Amino acid sequence: MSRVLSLEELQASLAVSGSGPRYWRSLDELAGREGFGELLREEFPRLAPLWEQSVDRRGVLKLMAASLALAGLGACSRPAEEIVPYVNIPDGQTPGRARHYATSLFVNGHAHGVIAKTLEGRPVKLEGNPDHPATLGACDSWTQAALLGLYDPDRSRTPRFRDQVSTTGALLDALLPRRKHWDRTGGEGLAFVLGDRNSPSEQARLRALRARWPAARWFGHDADGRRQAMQGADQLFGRPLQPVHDLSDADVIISLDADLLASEPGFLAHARHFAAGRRAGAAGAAMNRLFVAEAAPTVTGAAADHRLAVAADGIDALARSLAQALGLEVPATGLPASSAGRAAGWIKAAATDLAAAQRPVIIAGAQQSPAVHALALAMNARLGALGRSLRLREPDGLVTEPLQNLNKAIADQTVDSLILLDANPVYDAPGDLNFSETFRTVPFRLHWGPYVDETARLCHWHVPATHDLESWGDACAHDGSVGLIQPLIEPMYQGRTALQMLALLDTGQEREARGLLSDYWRDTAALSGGFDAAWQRWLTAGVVAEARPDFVSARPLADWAERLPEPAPERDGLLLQFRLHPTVFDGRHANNGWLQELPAPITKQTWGNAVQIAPATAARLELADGDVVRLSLGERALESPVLIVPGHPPDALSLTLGHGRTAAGRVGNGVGVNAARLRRAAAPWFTGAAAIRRTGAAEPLALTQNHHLMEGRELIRSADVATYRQDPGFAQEPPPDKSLYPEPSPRARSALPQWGMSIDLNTCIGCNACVTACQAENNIPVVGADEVARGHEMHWIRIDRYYEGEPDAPRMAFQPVPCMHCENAPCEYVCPVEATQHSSDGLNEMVYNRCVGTRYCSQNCPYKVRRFNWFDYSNQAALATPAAANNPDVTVRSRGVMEKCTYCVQRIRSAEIEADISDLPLADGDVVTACQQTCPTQAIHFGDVADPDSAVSRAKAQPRDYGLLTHLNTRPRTTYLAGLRNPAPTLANGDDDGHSQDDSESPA
Amino acid sequence: MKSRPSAQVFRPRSNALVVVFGAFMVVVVAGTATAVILYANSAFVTGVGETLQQPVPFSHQHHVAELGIDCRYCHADVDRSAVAGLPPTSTCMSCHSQLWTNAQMLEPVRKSLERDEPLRWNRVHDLADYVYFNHAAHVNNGVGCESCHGRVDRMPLARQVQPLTMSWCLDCHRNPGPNLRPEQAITAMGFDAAAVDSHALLERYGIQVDRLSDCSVCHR
Repeated sequence: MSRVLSLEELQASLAVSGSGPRYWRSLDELAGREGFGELLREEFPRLAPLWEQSVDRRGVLKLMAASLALAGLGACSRPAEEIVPYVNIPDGQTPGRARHYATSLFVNGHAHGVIAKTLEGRPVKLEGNPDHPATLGACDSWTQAALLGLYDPDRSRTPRFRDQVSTTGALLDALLPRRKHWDRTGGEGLAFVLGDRNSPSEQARLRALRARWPAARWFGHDADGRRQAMQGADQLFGRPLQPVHDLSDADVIISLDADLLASEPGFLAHARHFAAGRRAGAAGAAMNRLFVAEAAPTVTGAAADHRLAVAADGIDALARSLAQALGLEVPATGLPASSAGRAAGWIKAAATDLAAAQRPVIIAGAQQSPAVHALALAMNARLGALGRSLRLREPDGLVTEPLQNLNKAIADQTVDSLILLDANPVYDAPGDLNFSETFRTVPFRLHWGPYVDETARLCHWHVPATHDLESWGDACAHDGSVGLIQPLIEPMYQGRTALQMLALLDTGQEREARGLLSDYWRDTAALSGGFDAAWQRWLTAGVVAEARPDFVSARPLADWAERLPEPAPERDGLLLQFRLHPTVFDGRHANNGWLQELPAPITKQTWGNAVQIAPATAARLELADGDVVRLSLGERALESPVLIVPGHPPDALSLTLGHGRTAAGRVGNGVGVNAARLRRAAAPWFTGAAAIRRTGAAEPLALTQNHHLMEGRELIRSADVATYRQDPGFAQEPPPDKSLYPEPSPRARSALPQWGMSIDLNTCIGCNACVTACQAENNIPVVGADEVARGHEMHWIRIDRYYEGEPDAPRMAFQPVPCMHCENAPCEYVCPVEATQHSSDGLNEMVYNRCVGTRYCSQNCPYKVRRFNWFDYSNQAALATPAAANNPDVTVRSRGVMEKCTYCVQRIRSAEIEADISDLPLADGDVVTACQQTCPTQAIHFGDVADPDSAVSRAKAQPRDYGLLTHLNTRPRTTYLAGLRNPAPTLANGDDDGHSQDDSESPA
Repeated sequence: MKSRPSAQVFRPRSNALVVVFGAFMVVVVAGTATAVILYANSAFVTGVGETLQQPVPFSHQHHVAELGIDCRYCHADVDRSAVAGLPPTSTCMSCHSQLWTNAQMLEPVRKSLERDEPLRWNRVHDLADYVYFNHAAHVNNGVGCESCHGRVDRMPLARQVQPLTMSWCLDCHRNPGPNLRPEQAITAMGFDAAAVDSHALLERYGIQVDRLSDCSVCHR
């Protein structure tokens, strides 16, 4: 049997499936391929190759003798420990008790409000700030992983001059003559490259610099394409404006290639509002409906009621057709041939819904062309969404030029001094600019940023940036609300905050960070009361309440439609699409092990990128997962393995940005390929005429999609809303046969409370935030690509991604799987040393210091939630989490020990002790698990299942509640609420297929 | 007729030897086991009675018994935090800026304040890192300082008096009653536990004894 999967093979296996939806996790599973069964029969197949470098008998004896001798020596004396009290204890500090501070972080350029937990001045965990108006207490993987970024040993530590350690004093000396020169010439020959930070105080400083040196030129490094939304507004309204979408109470949501639930600006608020609409639907009210047309599968597409796969250049035609269907007069083009049938049905259903909607909203993806943005904004205006679900505000930052202008300016020798602030264009500038070559010719290059990255290495001067958790600053969110950034720890290295750096350029003097910030706000904020009181209030809440965003109103120009660019001609061949990576983004997070090892939500790929390709295209080109291909675009080419992604448009290839770093640090260097090398500045996000050729080589991909498989009955259950209304208990199954033995075995548990969890698959969007939150809370180690490929990843909560339906247009569903904390836990019976036990409050406990590593428990766990430390991951050289980032309330596990989700037992016990000390009963909501706390959609409930009024009991009382593999009589404490979908009545059974809509025409 | 040499490999008295050898092995195994257990519980391993070199030879006996300072004057967080906390240098200096201001013994304390460098004490009571002992949980539930730390009022130099082994912890977690005392006697030294009604105290502190031996009470 060849490695390549043919379409016939897949369709044949779909045809034989019985009644009801059939879910599958990978194409290999669907086709019933040989290798797949291996993962079911054995939890860790191919363990034998671990012994590839065979050790002979002599070697074993030598090692054992040496180990014994060393173990004996090591046990000679107890390690001495010290207690180091304070000299003067800070006010309000109690050693051993955590303190919490509200602050903000820049997440991919936008502010996210966080509450940081510190222990004796050491930040150990970040959570969402419920008082922050833009993020609403939700959190995401990037925020969670920012903690690891703080302790990253590869961060830049000192100023550098020509790659040697230097000082800021030396820099100031070097700047002095230049600043005098710029003062004389008004900044002639000076150019700035700005990253995507959006901060009011920094913008004020930048404006001051621009006023001082008016001839200087300003370039913006547009990592995520947000410039295009403003250009779209410019086309429609005649001036650049920033759209701010609001999904609260939205009943019809259309995404035109916008990953609005997981990466677009404001995604946390969007996810929360979207989930609220889903929840309302489950409770009996009308449910919102999400239409997504997208160029590569994302979690937003997976959450959609109707998902349409369209190559990125087909979105424009789709938007025009939809606009026409809504009665806008726009020059139209035909729908792209490859998906015309499906697209017509999608547009018709969407237009019908939009026309009837109370609060519709249409969002275009940041990477789409300005024309698509203009069309989306025009449709919103047409539907009356302006000022309601879509508001407009003036752009925050300076008006900047795109990077290709800089390239030209350098080539023309009009730029002789370049200052880069938090930008890394040498790594990620489009390949056709040949930027690193032109960049080297600038006579003076200064870089400010957190790492000595690719750009910093080519600069004369480098100044380290402080991490947000050690900075004073302010940060603007996507909707214009402003939060303060306050330090939780003294700067660990010689970093300077952005304000300090700008002040240094402006005044030529070093200034203290806090003073710079408070001076700005003292001068800016018009306060009725005193400044000091307001300052305290802002620091306490983390939000500057007075800095409300100003929304503006605008009307579409009369002739906007005529000024739309000519539609692109029909394309031959494959479209090459560049996408932001769902974990490392544009590469800025590449040195973060938590994010590198986080499986991408859809592809489940870790540690690298791959050319994503549709199953049909792969079959045509005879490619299998991991086959290395040579992608070429004109003269430039790169080699990368391919990954077959069901639901990908067949006429396109996708490659994610953010990998292939060469100067990221010890974690990120050399992982994956740098897709920017193939990008074109003129068409940065998608470009035609890509040639793909097999090289014959193959590379293993670190995928987790087939790891930890459960084979059982309908693990994932979902239904249409209509079915649910008729049969609310559709997810129920008959209880297992009564046992002859008393239930639950081994003993009745009467202590209160009894802990349990409920996960709502109706609102889970599979965004991975819980996975990283759990990793941060529970000291979960990073294992590396090779270990992930062996199935040794350590995440305590995994998110299973299931497909259903045709491989070219499947529906997708997610299921987070933590430990089930079974009342009849199969793992407990088989442990020979009683290292896993049941507590009287219903927890399945894992006692690390007893575990001897037989792994019987893992073998016997039907849910495959146990993780084994095959090596000493926590202390291995390159990937170990720095000790300071560890949660001191959780044991750091060593080699040879089993571990698994504990329901955050450290939080349970400390809440119980708190309640005990304060003589108050433990209230519902006092114990919040890390996954629950961070969940953007509030899909996880946790609490006392013995209390009928607790939130978790109310969730479990819903008819959608079901457990996994309950026929085994494990009595899991973690249960699920079945998923719901809300397909449009014009598209039968939620089927997006063009052929099926003919026989299900809507009666209207 | 001369009998041929016996075909037997073992002579009859081998039987007796086997019995002797077997008995010897039983003694060896039992002896080894006993030795290991005795060793593991010996002061050499548990550290009972050992005094450590400290930056300042601080005498609990002097401060507690002779001066009558309450434990919580220095270990101020013991009823609020998992750790009892060693006093910051400023606490020492609240008295010693007035008393014994020139004592050679207190030189490290004055230096600490002057240079803003903490005193580095050697830990006397050292639990394994996978044990999450919580002082506040014990002190607020009627377990006195003395129950674990002994008569510190009789210690010129702090030393460990209890083995701090898991079995010692469990002895109390399985039957905490005899070690409980009323709130006002938590820091008292020489308290007579037999004089109080342990059932009433269990009731008053609301201690669910059946939960106290769950693994995750101490191991997380």
